[in-house]
Amino acid sequence: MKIFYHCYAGAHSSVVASALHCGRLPLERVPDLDEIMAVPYFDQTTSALIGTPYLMGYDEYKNEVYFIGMRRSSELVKRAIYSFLNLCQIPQEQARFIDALHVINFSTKIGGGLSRRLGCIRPGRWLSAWGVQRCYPDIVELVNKVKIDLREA
Amino acid sequence: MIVVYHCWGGSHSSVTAASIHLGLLPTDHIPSKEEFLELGFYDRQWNVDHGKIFELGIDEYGNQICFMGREFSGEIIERAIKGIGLIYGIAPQEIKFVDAMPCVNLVMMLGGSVSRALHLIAIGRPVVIKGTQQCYSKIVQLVAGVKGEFAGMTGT
Repeated sequence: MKIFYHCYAGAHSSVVASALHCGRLPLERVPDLDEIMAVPYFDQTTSALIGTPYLMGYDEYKNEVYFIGMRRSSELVKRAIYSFLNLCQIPQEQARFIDALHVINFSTKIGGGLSRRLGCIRPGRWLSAWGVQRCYPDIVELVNKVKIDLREA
Repeated sequence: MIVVYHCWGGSHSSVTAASIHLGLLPTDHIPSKEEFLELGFYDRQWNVDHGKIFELGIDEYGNQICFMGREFSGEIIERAIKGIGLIYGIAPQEIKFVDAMPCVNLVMMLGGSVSRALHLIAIGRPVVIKGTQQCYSKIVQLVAGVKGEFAGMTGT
């Protein structure tokens, strides 16, 4: 099974959720800012790379865990991917897409915009990591739900 | 190889290009209204199908010829499909995206919007067909360029 966490740019919520899923961030406590900013690819994706899926790692069930940015076109992009898999005779059940955009808060969006759009990387990255800390329990809940689904599947 | 002709709604220019590619539409004359309507996919797709890649047939080089409506997300979809393909062992060079939108004229856009977005098919369809007939030679050229690449690859 391949798991794809997706968000707007593939730089914040999907990166954090996929890192949590792979055990690169703790489930039982809120990480400090340095831990969040040290996550591979956190606040790194440029506009030209939005849409490309990146492998974050593997979970305890040996599933491959990816993150991907889909802007606000996630339904369109997912339809394209599923129809492509169908065209290539790859079973659709092998790919699971999880929307991580809805768990993100305003601070992370503003921080992400500052860093990714306006190029103010230091303050933007700090603000987006601070925002991730504020909504961290929601991201943990999302990942836990996904893991329960995977266990039951 | 998988060849995906794409445009905004996957109803007109991409369907026309894919049909020309497969020989379902002529290259020596501009098709009549009836020839477009006989295609089955022309001016048919609704918003709920945008993003889906439809296979129209296999060309003489063994390529799967497809069309797709991608709204404003052509680049993201292309990167996503090539990335997903790579994950499943399909090389990016095996997937070719061809944007048919540069061939589209204002008449096509107007007629297409009236037919597809406003659901006024009786008014929009004749207009979009007229527009497609006007820019038909451009679409033929686009397809000829794509097929020329394949002919170069196979040395035919």
